[in-house]
Amino acid sequence: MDNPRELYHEEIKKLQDFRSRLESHSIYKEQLDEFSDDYEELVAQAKVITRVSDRLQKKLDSANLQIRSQNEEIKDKNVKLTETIDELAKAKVGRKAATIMLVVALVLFVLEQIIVQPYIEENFAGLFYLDYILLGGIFFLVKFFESRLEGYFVDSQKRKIIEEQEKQGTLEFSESQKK
Amino acid sequence: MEAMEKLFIEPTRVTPLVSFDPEVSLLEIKGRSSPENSILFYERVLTLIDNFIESDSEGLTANFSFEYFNTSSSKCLFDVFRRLSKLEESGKTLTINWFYEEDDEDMMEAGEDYADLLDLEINFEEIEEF
Repeated sequence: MDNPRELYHEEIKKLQDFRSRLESHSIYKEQLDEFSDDYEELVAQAKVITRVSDRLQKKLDSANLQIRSQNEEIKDKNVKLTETIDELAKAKVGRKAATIMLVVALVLFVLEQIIVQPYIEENFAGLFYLDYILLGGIFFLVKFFESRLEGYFVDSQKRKIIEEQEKQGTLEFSESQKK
Repeated sequence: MEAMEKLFIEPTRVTPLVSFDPEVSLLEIKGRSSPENSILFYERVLTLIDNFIESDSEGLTANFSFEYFNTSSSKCLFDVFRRLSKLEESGKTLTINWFYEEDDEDMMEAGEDYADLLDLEINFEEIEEF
């Protein structure tokens, strides 16, 4: 038995048989007719296979397009979801950070008034603006730490929200969204 | 004559389920077909049909339900249908059912193409989902 592990092995075999007959000059009209029938069948086969493949490729192509558009949709939704989580986290922790920093600012101001200001008046009497520079410094320090603290709270709040959602099994998040 | 044996090939991501039950003379090929070596995969089906032609069985029902098949599988399916056509020519009764998913007109038309080329009578059945 021939090894059939090649596509079109039957057609190839027929072609080989025909060629060997051709070489040995032992061709009859009957065999030519047979060969032309085989050739006709092969063309018909090729036409059908091409048509069927085109159809299924079209199907595959539309499926790919659909997947691509769904991916885009998922990406958009993910961006919106990340934004919502950010906003939610900011809203939840914004006030908390402001309160903490207000307390810190008050403490620093009181300390400055009670300890630092008398010290300046006693030792640097001529440098009256030193007190204002110090107060300005406290203001910028408080502002800087407020934004840092808010960032820290937002991140931990985001992680908390994501963990809760994952625990409930309602949503899945990528690593970049968790950061 | 030797009795024909049952054949069952589990489906994979790239090969369809193949099942043949000689008791009810039913051949089923179902799923996705895009194997690396289609001819090797369908060789067993072709041999099975050849054996069936030689057997005493009176007729065969062949059910095909494809989600997708690649180009080399379409050639192999052509060979399967040609063998089935030979089976009919040998005097046995043949029923071919071509199932396709709802709205999958491409798959239905693929079946029609085979039917036209090989002059086979194929019953087309739309189903909701495989």
